[in-house]
Amino acid sequence: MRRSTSPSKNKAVVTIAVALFWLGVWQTASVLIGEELFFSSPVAVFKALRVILRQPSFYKALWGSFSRISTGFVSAVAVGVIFAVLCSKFKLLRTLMSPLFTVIRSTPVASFVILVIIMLGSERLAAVISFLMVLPVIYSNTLAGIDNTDKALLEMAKVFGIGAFKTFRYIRLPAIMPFFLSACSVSLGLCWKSGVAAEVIGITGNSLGKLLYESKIYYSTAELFAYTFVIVSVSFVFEKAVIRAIKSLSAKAVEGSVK
Amino acid sequence: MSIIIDNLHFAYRDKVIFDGFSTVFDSGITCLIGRSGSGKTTLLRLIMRLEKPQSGKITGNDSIAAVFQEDRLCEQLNAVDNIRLVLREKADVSAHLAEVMLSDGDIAKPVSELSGGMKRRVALVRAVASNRNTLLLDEPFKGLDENTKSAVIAYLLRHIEGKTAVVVTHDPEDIILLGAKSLSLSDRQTNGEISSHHFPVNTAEIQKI
Repeated sequence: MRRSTSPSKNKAVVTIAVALFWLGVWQTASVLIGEELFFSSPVAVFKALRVILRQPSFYKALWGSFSRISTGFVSAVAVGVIFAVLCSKFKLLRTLMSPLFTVIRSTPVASFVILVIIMLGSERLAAVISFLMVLPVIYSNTLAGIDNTDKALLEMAKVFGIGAFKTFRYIRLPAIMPFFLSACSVSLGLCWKSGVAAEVIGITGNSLGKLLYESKIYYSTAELFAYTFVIVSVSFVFEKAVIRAIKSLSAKAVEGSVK
Repeated sequence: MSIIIDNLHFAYRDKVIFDGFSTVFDSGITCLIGRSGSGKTTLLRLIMRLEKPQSGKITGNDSIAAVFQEDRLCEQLNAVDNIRLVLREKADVSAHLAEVMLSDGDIAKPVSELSGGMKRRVALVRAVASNRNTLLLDEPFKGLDENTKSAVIAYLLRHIEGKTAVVVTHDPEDIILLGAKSLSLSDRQTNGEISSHHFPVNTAEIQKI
């Protein structure tokens, strides 16, 4: 008798197999290169990670980076949404803000980093850089979502005299959420990348960026890979947690029974 | 309550649609007929205040419910919640939905999972159950088969008493089935003389059709 395997079990097996394949490629490449200083093997990186995870200073740095980057992200979401709402109402403001967001979007991160170090120092650098990277993405996507709201449904709401709160919850929010979620998904990865890069340039105290910088100074490639692994993992978990929380809250709001 | 339209002027881009148009829609059903582009839907939109006339006045249009050409339902909500959304007071609407032959199973689903004809019935029940003085119905029977249409007409006639309803239709038979008065619109409409048919209507007979 044949046993059937569930799709989720199959998916897990495939994921593990793919991960093992690439670990194999990595190990083979490091053996072929034969120089741990330039290209550390997975085994060396795992050993470095074990050492790192035992150091209290690592957790201090992790918390420092996390708090700064998440502050930047949350502030950018708040400001971006407020500006999107205001700009959807006032066309003049929209026209006025358009070049500002274009400039923020197209200016190289390094230019902002140097400017912020000069103006504010390195302590708030990662928060400001994350904020600047996330702001235009949240603003433009939320505005697109507002613009995308079904005009026919808004007319229906007007004719029946549906209140502002219900109109927002049941008509506007379902139109905005896909755009907003996509913006959050893109910008969560972006804010970690740009935030840590800023910490490296600014050599911010108690930060993952500074630890990365130090591993470069001491040519410790294994540590560099280990910190990178930590940053990618934290960024991934942060993104999944935030997206799941927003999805769950919005589903409750949009699909909840009408009182 | 009557809807009074007085000396209405309205042009869309360069096309004059109403050129000093006046009429009164009294309580009961009035069918608006006329060829495409003659201004039937535009007149409903003017009464709903979704369009502004260049001049003229419309009164008696304060408490309005509508069935639009499209269903205009919140797709993520079920039929009951779509109707509750427009209610001013709490009311049980499941009996209304049963009258138009929507089952308990159908009304529990998000409307995105319903057929076109089912959505049309939900849109009609939303207008009727909202308990407004005036109903503006733009092709309300679109996409309904004969049996369903007769059930929907019977439902409408049961709940229309004391209200003013304006129904846009392309089917002259609807005037008879609804026992309605009619107003035929043409280009550059000025005169809004409503003709009364007053056919006797027996809702039980209609359901048999």
